Amino acid sequence: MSLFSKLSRRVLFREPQEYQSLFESGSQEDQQQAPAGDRRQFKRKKAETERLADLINQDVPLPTDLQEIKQTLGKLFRSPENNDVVIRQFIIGMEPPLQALMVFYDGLADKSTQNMAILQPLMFFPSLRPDPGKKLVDSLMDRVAESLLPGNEVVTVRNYQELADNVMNGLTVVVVDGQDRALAVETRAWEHRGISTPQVEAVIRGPQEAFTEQIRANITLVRKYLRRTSLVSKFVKVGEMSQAQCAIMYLDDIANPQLVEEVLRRLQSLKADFIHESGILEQMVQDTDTPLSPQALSTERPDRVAANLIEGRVAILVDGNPWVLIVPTTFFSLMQAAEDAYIRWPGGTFARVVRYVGLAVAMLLPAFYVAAVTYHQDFIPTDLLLAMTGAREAVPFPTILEILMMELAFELIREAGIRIPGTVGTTLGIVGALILGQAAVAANIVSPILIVVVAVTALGSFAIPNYELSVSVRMLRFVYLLLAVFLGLFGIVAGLFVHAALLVQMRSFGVPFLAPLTPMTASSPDYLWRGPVWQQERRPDYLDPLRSRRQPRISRGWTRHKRKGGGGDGGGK
Amino acid sequence: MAVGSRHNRARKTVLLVLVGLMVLATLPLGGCWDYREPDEVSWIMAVGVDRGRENDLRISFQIAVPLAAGGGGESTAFVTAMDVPSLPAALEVMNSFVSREGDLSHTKAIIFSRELAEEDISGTIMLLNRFRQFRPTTALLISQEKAEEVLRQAEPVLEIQPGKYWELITSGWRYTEFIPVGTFRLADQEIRTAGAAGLVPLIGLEQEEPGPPHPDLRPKGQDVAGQLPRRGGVAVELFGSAVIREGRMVGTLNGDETGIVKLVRNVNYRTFKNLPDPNEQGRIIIIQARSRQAPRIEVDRRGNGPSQIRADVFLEADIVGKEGFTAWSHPERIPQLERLLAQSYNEDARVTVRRAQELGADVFTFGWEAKKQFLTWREWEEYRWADQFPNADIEISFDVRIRRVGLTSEDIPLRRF
Amino acid sequence: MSESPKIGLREAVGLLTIFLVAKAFIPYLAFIFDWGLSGTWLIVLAHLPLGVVGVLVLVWLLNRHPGKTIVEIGEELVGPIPNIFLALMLLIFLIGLVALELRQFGEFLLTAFLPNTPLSVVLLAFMAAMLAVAYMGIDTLARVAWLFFLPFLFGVFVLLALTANLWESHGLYPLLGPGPWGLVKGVGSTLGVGSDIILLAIIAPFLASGVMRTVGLATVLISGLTVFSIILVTSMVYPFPVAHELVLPIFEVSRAINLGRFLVRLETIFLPLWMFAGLISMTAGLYGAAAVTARILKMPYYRPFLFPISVIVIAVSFLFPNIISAVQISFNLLITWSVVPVGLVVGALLAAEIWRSRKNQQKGGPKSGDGPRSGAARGGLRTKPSGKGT
Repeated sequence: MSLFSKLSRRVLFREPQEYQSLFESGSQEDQQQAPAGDRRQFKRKKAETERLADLINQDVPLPTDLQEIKQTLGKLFRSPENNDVVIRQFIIGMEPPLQALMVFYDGLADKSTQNMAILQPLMFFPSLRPDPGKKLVDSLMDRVAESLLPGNEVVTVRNYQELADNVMNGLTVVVVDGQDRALAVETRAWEHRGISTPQVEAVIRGPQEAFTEQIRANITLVRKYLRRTSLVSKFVKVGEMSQAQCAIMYLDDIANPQLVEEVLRRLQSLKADFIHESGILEQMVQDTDTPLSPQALSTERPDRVAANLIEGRVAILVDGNPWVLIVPTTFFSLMQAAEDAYIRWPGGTFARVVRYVGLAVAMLLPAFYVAAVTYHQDFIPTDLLLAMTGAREAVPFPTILEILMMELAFELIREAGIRIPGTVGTTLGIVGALILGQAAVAANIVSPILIVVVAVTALGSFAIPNYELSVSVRMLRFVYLLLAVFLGLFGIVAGLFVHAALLVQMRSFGVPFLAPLTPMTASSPDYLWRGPVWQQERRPDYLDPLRSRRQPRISRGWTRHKRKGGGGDGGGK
Repeated sequence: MAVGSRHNRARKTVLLVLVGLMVLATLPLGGCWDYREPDEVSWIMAVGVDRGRENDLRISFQIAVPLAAGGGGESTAFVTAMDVPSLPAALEVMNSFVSREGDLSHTKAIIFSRELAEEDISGTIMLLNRFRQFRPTTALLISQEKAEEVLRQAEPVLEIQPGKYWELITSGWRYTEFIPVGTFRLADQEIRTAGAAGLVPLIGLEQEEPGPPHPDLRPKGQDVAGQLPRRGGVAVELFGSAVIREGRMVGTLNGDETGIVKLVRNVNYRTFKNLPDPNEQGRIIIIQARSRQAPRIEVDRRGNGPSQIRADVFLEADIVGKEGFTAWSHPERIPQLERLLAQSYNEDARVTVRRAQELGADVFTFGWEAKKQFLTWREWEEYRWADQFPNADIEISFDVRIRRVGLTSEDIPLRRF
Repeated sequence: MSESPKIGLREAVGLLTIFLVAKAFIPYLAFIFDWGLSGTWLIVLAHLPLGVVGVLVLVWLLNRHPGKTIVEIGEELVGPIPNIFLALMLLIFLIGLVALELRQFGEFLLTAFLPNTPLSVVLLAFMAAMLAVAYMGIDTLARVAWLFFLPFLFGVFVLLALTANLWESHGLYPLLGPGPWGLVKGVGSTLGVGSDIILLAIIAPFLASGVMRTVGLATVLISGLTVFSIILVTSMVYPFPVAHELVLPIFEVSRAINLGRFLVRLETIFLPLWMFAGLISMTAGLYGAAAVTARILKMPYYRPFLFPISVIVIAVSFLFPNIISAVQISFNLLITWSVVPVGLVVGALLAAEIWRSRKNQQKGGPKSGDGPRSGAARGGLRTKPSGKGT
């Protein structure tokens, strides 16, 4: 140990060292040994945890001796320090009686199910179901599983890893003395939020269910929409998560198997401690880390997931997070809202146009304003220009500084509004913005037209349906602002050129980000504008689905077959 | 494989872009060159060009005063004039007594005084073509009095800013016969290309003493700017036009003549015509006329001599008023009325043609029609239209159709009880 | 190339069309009025069928050697040493094109919009954007060009249509301008407007098989019609003698727009149209130069050459002391004389190809190849019009 570390230990870390040595025997030799003892303890603990990790990672099978299992389980689950784990020994009331124990997490396992499905039948009723013909000892676990445990889902556990996995997922594991297998019984019941309305993706004309944090419930929600036997939900072990925490869903008869393979490949190759949120998972799995745009669609609506699965995409669900990822995605999917499909197509097209205008405004309006006002003043109508000049008389700041200040102020309001709870938050946001703007104008800090510009920009960014995309757009707004300040409109054009090129070469799971526009691929009339529902005949070609047609050319049979016969007025049809 | 290298490439690209942007950002360390706050610039609404006393030209600028937010100033523009050798020099000289840099991007009108126009304005026109700040959509005007005086008197009553005033009044060609189309671009083409002559709106100031009395009816457009029998409103009046040939003003056309030229040139506008009623002495029939289809112009180039030009102008008219009691709006009378109107227009046209040939200026732009008869440019140049025009045989005939009669079809005769 | 980009039909058409049309936005094309006087629009119209012929010839040559660019075709046909000369001519043409266009776009910006900014800032800004996108690949550029293509055409035609109330049909007369022989001379001296099509020969390997002819024809037709419309409208809005003096014809046309009190001073709206077209066009030229360099040196990567070539381009752009000399030299080099290098390249390769295929035929046929049949064939084949690269 160098002089410096010795010194720092003496000077900075003196006190904890003293307490540490007090905790131990308190004798002189311990005090002297304290520094070395610390490191030894660290190393010892590390070795122990590594051993325990090996237990799990290396498929160590379960021993048959119950006491040995009980001790190992105690160490594995850090019981008794870990008060959550319950290792309960009991006796199976058979002839002769068998020792058994139950392992579960208090709070994750449902007590009444345990009582009914495990304890009661094993403790009280085992002799009521004799098992003819089989030898007792060999088939004991089978007998217990098939005849004695009335639980719905019973899984055989053969090694420590499966045991730990199941216990962590809320099942109760029953270990019987003398057996090399254990049984995990379904007893999952933990506190969770119920199904509620979507927070962000609200629609007027559409279902109001949103995903919750329970992966099971989410899968069920999607399955309610797509009642097809080909809908596959596959649990995937990702990183340090348990297998029951991440799942992918796809339609086996539509999604391209290479796509599914690629998704699985990326997910299964992740190695990290904490990927337990779909946001983090998205960042681990996406193609590039560009600030320009997300490359996966995250949604909290099951109807949207269902619609995308039908087109041939894959959904990634993560337990504990109500946002589901849909891959691959294109820019146009990010700009769609569920409601476009539920209302008639002119309305859908109109809404989409407004949204694209909002996107353009959110990104470019401040830059255009600065460029027009400071570089291209001849473009502005004379009356407006003179009014602006007059309004700027009392304002001391140059235009670029004005607009930066107001933009930053609005960003602050937005960020602050998220933290303030409940209705106060939204009201404060609006009120704050209005008052701030008005006061700023009255105090001659900014000119009034600037408030309009900034407000319209903020509205435009709210019109973007995807949250991450709107965040990107808000950041890019400042880049364009800088470009406009230095080179006027030409700066914006050069920026747009490079921006377009960067977007065009982005890919999402191999699919070009601006497909089906470039490269132009076959698709339904659904990307720039929304076509009529009966014209949505093809699945997107860039997904290469197994079946590319989703509707025949005439999907409304009633238009083809005219009514037969005159029938008169009352004649029924 | 492909994904990895694309990933790297994307990263490198973003890096390159960032570096590029950083390089760009460091460049304007000396300041952004063209960045101008709007309140550092003074916007010139109108320019006046006169002969100067202490220098070649006297340039006057009418500069807009932007109203401060929340209230009005007293005046919305002021006029400064200076003696300088040229217009760009004036832009520079004015910086010594106007606090903001002058800018011509929003100039609505440029006014030359008659005395300057009669010498030569082609030099300034060519300068204006080249000068980036000056726009071809500005109005070019010629004033009878000094341009500086006109600018000083141009204080709008209906508008706040004089810029809007100039825009509106020079776009009066759409509904008035007295004002020709005054765009600089058009005037420039007329003046500098062969086959036409410049027709530029004429400005005058309200006459101080009334003109000679004339109690009987006379057509409304016989005057020239500065001689209108009127009182009140802005002191500036646009009436009639100046004729420019080879860069010099050679004469004026009065209001009616300007109207005829506009009709022949297919400038679609509407105008009232007061026709004396042939049946009743002292009463008039008032119609509103507009062009109903493009005029047909035929130029017959007779070898290398003067051409023969026939122009047919098609008008449609509505009877707007009638002072007498003859039933002119009756279908049987209408053809007669149409004939009378056509005769009246033909007579006006004869007068106008005579005047144009007198001035030696092809204000009708018949030359441009004639150009289509030539096959090569050299032939056209050799023909020398400007010299041939005064001797050309020109006939303009009008064909008028009456369409509507207003709100009443017949007037009940006033009964004498 | 390190990986093989793919360019679809629409993207190729968009890229090539914008590459060809961008020259209508910068000053040098206005010198064409010196040749055609008032009949300039006829000259431009005559370029259209010539362009079709030229591109069909080029496409025939390219289709005989699928998957290769013109440098590789040259190597195969004329051998490595002569091919180096041909490829160098092409390279010089491309570098000159980009440099002169860059200078003129910079001058355009300076004259029209940013009078006080130094030229170097503007040129460096252009270069930075061009480098970034050229680095990303030709397929990226082609896709951006396709993205921009339809709005571009729409914008150009809106620009032209907005001036409709100012059109004077007499600007198109006298029809024959300098006379028929003058017109023919004009057409001959301005064939270089189409020599840019050689870019098709550089992106040939990335196109799908079989679309080459469609790409070529569509490009020539659309770009020809667009340039024709621009010249036509310019002639009508600023009839002949005036048009001939304009330094920036399309800019002046947009400045003339006057539809009532509100729709004036609209030229700033069209700035993105011109500048985007210029950026795409020059980036394509930059890529072309880098690609030709890479293929001459038989390297699979073109990216290392982008930066050196861009330095050369900027250096050449600054060679001219003022805009007029730049424009005049551009006109002479690019519009009048660029036909020579491009034509020589294509002509030489064409001749080599025909000679080679005839040699193959002769090998198969009777050895005494000097009969009337082959003589007639030779005579027939020899009558090729001069100046192939239109």
